[in-house]
Amino acid sequence: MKQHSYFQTDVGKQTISGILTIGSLPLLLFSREANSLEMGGLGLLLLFGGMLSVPIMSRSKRRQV
Amino acid sequence: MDLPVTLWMWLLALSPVFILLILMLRFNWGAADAAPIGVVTASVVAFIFYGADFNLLALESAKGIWNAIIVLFVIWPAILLYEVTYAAGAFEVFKRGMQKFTPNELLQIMTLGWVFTSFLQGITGFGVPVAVAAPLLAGIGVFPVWAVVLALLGQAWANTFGTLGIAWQALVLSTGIGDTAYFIPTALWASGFLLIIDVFTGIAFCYFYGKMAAIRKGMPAILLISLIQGGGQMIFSIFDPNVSCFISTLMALAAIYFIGKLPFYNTPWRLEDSLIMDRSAKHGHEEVESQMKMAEAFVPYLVLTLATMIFLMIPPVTQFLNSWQLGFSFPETQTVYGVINKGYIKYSPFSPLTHAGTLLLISSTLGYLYFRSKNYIQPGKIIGILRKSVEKTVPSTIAVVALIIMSKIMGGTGQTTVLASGTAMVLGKYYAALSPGVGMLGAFMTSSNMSSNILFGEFQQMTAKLLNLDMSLILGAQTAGGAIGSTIAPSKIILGTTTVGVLGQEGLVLKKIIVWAILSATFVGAFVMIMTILNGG
Repeated sequence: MKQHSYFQTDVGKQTISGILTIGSLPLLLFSREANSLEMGGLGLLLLFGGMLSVPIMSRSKRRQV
Repeated sequence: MDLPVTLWMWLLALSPVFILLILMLRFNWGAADAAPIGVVTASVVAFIFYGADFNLLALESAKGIWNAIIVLFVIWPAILLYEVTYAAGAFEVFKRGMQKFTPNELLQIMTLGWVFTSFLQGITGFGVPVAVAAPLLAGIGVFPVWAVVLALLGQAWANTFGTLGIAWQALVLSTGIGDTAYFIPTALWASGFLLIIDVFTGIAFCYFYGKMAAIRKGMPAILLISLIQGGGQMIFSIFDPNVSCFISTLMALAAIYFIGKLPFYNTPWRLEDSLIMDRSAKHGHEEVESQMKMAEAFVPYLVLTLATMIFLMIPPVTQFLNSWQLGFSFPETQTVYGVINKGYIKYSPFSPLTHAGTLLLISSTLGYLYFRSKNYIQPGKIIGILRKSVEKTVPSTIAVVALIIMSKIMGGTGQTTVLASGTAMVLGKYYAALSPGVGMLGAFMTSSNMSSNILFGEFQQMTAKLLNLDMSLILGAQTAGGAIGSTIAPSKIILGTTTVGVLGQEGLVLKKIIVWAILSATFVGAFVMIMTILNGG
């Protein structure tokens, strides 16, 4: 039987979502200090992307089932 | 602040909460799926209608992530504690031990789900009682979803004066009633309402277990336990509110031993058709009968209790350990409507050495070492324990982060204030009846009685003054509502569903518990309204 790597499992994918979401913290925090709109924008993109990937993955999996 | 409180703005502010509830209750989405949609809704409403700029959204989100990390630091070690206890086969020992303590199944459930949970809330809080008690209940045969429901119910009444009075202190500080004549009346109203909630908790435990037959069987225990817990708290709250819950729950823990020995409870009794009991499955450890004694099975929990007492109840030790704090600075932000979020040099400082998560980590580590030394856990099993812990904790992470960000964005842009003040404006004097509902909303949004008191304490005080209502009565109702709201707080529900392995079924838990929460808040609200009318309001 073919072994899946951790990041190919559901928990693994959610781990990536969690890392992206929580990983946005330094960007969000320091965008103000660096006065960088780009850094803040990237932070929010990571935050919303990471969070929304969870319901998107769940819905697409449910559709496949 | 010139935020327009109109029906339109009120409906917009309601939309994130409404969407979250609809997705969870109507469509049975788990919190991890529903909460990000709630965040997006709150952000869109904040950006387009509440005058929040890009910078404010980024900073409130950052605050939310930081608060979530602090909450997650409870969930992760709580799961580890569960997995260590499970791997050692201690849940089967609990089950056997509980049968020896009392052969009455209802009293076993009340002991673990109500008395022990309340005791944990008295000293730790931060969701630890739910994370610890839910698996214990599942271990004695309660269906996992019901185990979460009961653990949530069991800790509710102890929220205000529990955790060494942290939510009470928040109410006192945010309203400035500390050195005033309002202090003792407010403490008495709050503890009086919590006594009622405590009685309702006992009745709910029996009702869920076996409707009227169980209520008849459980009534003497309900009255004795709630009299010691809620009544004791009421008396001690006059002298020292900060330890009133701890002392009364400790007394109840001792008293339950004697209640179990009463002739009414020391004979075998259980309802075969109880809807909350799983009669089919084998619970706990699946291997041969363990030689572990009951006291040994409790080693991690005894360590947790002892560590909490040493770390949090000896002031010099607490002060020393609290001296190391982590936190980020945040600048002041403002919406175009003048809603100001004050700046912080160190926002929501995290004290790792006195944090509930550290205490859980110590208990699970020492518990593992003890079980390993006695060979209750086989060599090499640690990898499996850690793997299972990761598998359970990862899925709850997004849900916790998203829910807290949603509450920060709603609070930081004035949406939460519009929800509460809009309701107060429309209701006038009848607001008194809704005052616990506002406390409940705060706890639902923030997952904490303490945060609800910080968020709405001053608002309730101002509204009481404006409408000429009894301030102590309204503040008592605020914090009682916050305690009730802690049962329906999604982050706390996730703590339970994660530890018993039914993550994604938060909607189902919410459906079962929300009726109790609304009924309790309605009862307290009706009482407040009657008192207001009697006072000539």
